[in-house]
Amino acid sequence: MEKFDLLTLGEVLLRLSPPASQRIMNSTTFDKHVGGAELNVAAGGALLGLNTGIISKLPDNGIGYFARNMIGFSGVKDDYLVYDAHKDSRLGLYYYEGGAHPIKPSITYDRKNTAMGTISIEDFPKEMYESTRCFHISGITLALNRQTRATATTMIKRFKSAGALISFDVNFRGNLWSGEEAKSCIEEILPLIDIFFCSESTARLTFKRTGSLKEMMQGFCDDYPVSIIISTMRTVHSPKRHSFTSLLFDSRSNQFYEEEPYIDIEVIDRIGSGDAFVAGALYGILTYENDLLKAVEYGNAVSALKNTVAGDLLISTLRETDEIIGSHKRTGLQKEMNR
Amino acid sequence: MARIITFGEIMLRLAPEGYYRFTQADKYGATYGGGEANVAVSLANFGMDTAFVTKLPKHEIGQVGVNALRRFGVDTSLIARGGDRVGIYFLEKGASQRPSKVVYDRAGSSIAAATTLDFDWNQIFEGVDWFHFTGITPALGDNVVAICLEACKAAKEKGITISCDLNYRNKLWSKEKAGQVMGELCRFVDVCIVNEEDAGDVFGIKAVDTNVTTGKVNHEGYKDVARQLAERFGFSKVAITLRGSVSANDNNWAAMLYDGTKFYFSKNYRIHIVDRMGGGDSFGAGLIYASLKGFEPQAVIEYAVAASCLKHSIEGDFNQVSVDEVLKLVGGDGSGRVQR
Repeated sequence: MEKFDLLTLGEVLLRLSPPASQRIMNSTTFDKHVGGAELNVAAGGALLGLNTGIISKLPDNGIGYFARNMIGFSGVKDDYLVYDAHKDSRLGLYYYEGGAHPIKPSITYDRKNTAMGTISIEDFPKEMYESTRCFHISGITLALNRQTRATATTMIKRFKSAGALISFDVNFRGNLWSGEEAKSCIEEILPLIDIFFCSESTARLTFKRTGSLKEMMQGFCDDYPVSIIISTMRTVHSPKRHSFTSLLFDSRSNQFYEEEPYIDIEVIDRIGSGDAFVAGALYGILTYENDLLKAVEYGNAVSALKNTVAGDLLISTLRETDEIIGSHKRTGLQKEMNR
Repeated sequence: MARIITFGEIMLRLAPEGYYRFTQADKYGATYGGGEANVAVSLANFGMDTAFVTKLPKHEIGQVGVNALRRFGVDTSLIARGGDRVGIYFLEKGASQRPSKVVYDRAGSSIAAATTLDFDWNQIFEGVDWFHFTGITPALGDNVVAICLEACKAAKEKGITISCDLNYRNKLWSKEKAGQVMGELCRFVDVCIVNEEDAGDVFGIKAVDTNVTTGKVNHEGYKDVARQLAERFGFSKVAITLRGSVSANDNNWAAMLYDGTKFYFSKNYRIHIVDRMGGGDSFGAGLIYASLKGFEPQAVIEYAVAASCLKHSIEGDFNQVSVDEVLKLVGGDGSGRVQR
């Protein structure tokens, strides 16, 4: 049996945020958080009970060790964390300030020339490819630089031929690459992808698809051997009030799965909520193979939950998540507090 | 009033609070600092007309860097804006036998990527009396060496006094490269500031019978270092800070000034360190202030050492002391009794 349920490949970032409600302009301290799309997915999966690990490269210094420790804290295994001992090696970082209507949240990235940018296929043992049921990666890793892209595509191929499920979240970032670049790069690997996360706007704007959301989702499955395609739907009422749901299509049974949206989520920190969704959905897919509605329910619930937690990583438990799902489905009287 | 320009990099300093280690802390104190910026702030705090020249990104992190200087009255109007990032240094404060640690994350910063086209030195030096930079700035790259050279030439043409703190940083460049570049720049320098190790690291000029790691400092050896430096580069003044490290918390602190004829040694202070970052820069600022005010050589070195001594008691890179406070310490009140 494989050691891991889920391995993810991606850059680990240090997030620097002013304490609650302060602005970057006048804050005298920054809270330290560790995050990154694929780490967030692994951490979310670990919380729900999956055995997960992160494949990444960190600087071999105190800043990198802090990230390693926080990864350990999140329950994600560090078997495939490697270190860059170059004296100028750095951890990518970003500054984040939450918004309150009418001010939008803002991110300033500082992630060029990082340790992750030097990651190589040679850094990892061959056994790694046999060690997991599922491999997840997002478009951010492909976009970082030529080196990460080459490493990532080789890994996708090797995991695929070793029999792992390949999961991919487009996670399009206009500041990292252009739409055309993203389209041609992702279309090359789409034949290898089993589980595909793609938002409606990305399908339209980046992949130039047309028609209704359902038509576009089916279209991807017609063109590529994708088994499951999932699209999240976030409605932003204000920086502190979102609604959220998702739609899943299983091409093997030709069936859509969806549920009522979570309305008026009180947003404390939206960063990582999309990744938490992926974690929940993968947990559902890997745990309840014959009931894909579970993937939608867990994805939506942990995404809603993550929005209420400060930091990039989901902090919750499977029990709390199950309770949230329970109350979401309940139509009668709701308890005001858990006692 | 005399006007001073300092040129270099200002970085975001991210330091765990108190004595927490990098791996422990869940937040960083966010302050700003950098050799020449520290000198500028200290001089502004002495009431001098001081401008800091650098390049910072247009985004809000860059703006915070500008604001950090403006807050203390430094003229920031000459700062070029553009480029990608604000350099960062992570600082973990040591205590007792555990040394402080600095992790640089400054490659690719706006100033490190700047070119000579970013600065018009003839305009910058309008009405200026003193120009100060350190050996950290040319260490950022050959493009920055070119900027420093232009600045030095323009300052020299206008008859501006130039001071340079050698400030060798082995994480930024090799001794050979530093020796070659600083040798070229030092031809323009009037006042040279070095610490007990710099002259040896950069120019191979060593004080005999001194071991900084044992805290042992030999006066005669440093006289020789100063004399050799002045002879080789034609400095009108050489100032040497003499730090004797007893531990990460406790240092001996003194300095010597050589004016080409005589040597002036300051009092020796035993300091208990709150924050040593910017300690050397506060010495430079004190030296510039006292020189511009026309102090006698002995008073110049006493003022510079006392100012720097006080800096070691202050959190952050910047020296936040007034002229009065420095003069009180020079006058002999180092008791640390509460002043009411």
